[in-house]
Formats: sequence, C-alpha cells, structure tokens
Amino acid sequence: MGLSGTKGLNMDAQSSSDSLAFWSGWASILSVVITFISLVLIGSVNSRVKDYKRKTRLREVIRDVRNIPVDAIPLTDNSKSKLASLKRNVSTRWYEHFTSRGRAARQLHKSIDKGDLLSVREEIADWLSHSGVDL
Amino acid sequence: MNKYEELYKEILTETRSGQMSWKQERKDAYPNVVLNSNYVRRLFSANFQRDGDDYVVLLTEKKYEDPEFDLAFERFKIELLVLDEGELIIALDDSTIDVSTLADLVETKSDRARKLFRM
Repeated sequence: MGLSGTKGLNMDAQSSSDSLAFWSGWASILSVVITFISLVLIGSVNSRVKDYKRKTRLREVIRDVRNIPVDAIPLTDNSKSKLASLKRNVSTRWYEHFTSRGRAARQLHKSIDKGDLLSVREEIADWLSHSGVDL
Repeated sequence: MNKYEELYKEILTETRSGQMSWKQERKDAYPNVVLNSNYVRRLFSANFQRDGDDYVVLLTEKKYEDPEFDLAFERFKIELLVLDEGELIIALDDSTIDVSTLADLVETKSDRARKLFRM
C-alpha cells in the first residue's frame, strides 16, 4: 500500500509537471501572437496618422498655390517657394509614367517649372481627379 | 517686381513713415469681407490713397489648427485685404507677399499699441 501510494503520488506530480509545461508552452506562443498582432495594429495606426498628416499638408500647399493670383508675374520669392513645395509633395515616380495619375503629375511639374500659374491650377484639378485626394 | 509686390511695398513704406495710421478694429467690424469672425484674433484697418482714390486696407490675423503637431497647436495666418467702398478688390497672403513684415510693423504702430507703449 505504501509503495503503490508513493508511486501514485509520483505519477500525479509527473502529470501536473507535464501539464504545466504543456500549458506554459501554449501561453508563450499565445503571447508572441498577441505581441505580433499589437505591433501590426500600432503600425497600422501610425501609418494612418502619417497618411492624414500628409493629406492635410498637401491640402495646405494646394490652398496656398491656388491663392497666388494668376497675374502675379514675375513670381515673388514666396510664390516660388510655394510652387516648389507643391512639386515636392506631388511625386512622380518612373513606374507612374504609365498611369493617368502619373502623367497628370508630370504635366503639373512641367507647368510649375514654366511658372504658368493658370496651367498649374488646371493641372492640380486634373491630378486631384486621378488621385482620389478629397479636397 | 509684380503689381502686387509694388502695392505691398507702397503700403509698407507708408506704414513705416507714419503716413498710414493703423487702427485696431473689433473682430466683427467687417462681416461681409472678413468671414468667420470667431477665428479672427486681431483685425487692423487703415486708409490708403493711390492716384487720388481712397481705399481701406485690412490686415487680419486668423487662427487655424496646425497639422504639423497633430492639430494640438494653433497657428495664425495673416491676410491683407484691399477694399474699395466696402467691396473686396484683392486678398493677399504669404503665398504672394511676405505679409508678416507688415504685420510686425502694424502690431507696434496701431492706435492701441501706441497708447499702451506711450508712443
């Protein structure tokens, strides 16, 4: 009775130790998964905040450029810096050359280089109609 | 120099020499041309003469939320408006001229500032 009882106790201890190892393993895996999901969510929120800020900045620049009177020629230093800012904010990448949005952006860059404010206004409207930026 | 710069330079010169005297107005003094008066921080006006014609020049300082710091701070945008018989002719801001130079000048040369600083 004594020996078999000790054996039973040892087996119980062994089984609870195995069970502990089993569940702690799963808990570790679960915590890694939760950490990963949290990182993805934080990254997504961060990118949304950045998108929002970029969009707001673009709106600000477009508003400023539209405020330049079309007959304010020759361009003042302030107007030139606003146009340069618009050029920086409307990117033209080589692979966008084949899209209508990319072509509109390139056309906008050309008009900015020429300093043709009337065309710049029209091309901003064209580019916006392709880009989906709601202004 | 374009015609807007010339006009601005004239206003700036006359303000510096004291020919144009600026008066600080109530925020809602010109509701037809200065919209959303609750966003206005300060509004200045002055009479301006050019080629024998009289105009009213307004300098407005309006607040807006600054997106650079998650809209946590407010910034102020300055505009120069020229009126003829109460009608707006042009509105100029920092996208055309460096209007902050005039704003700095008007800030210290307005009627209320002169009274405060015993000038």
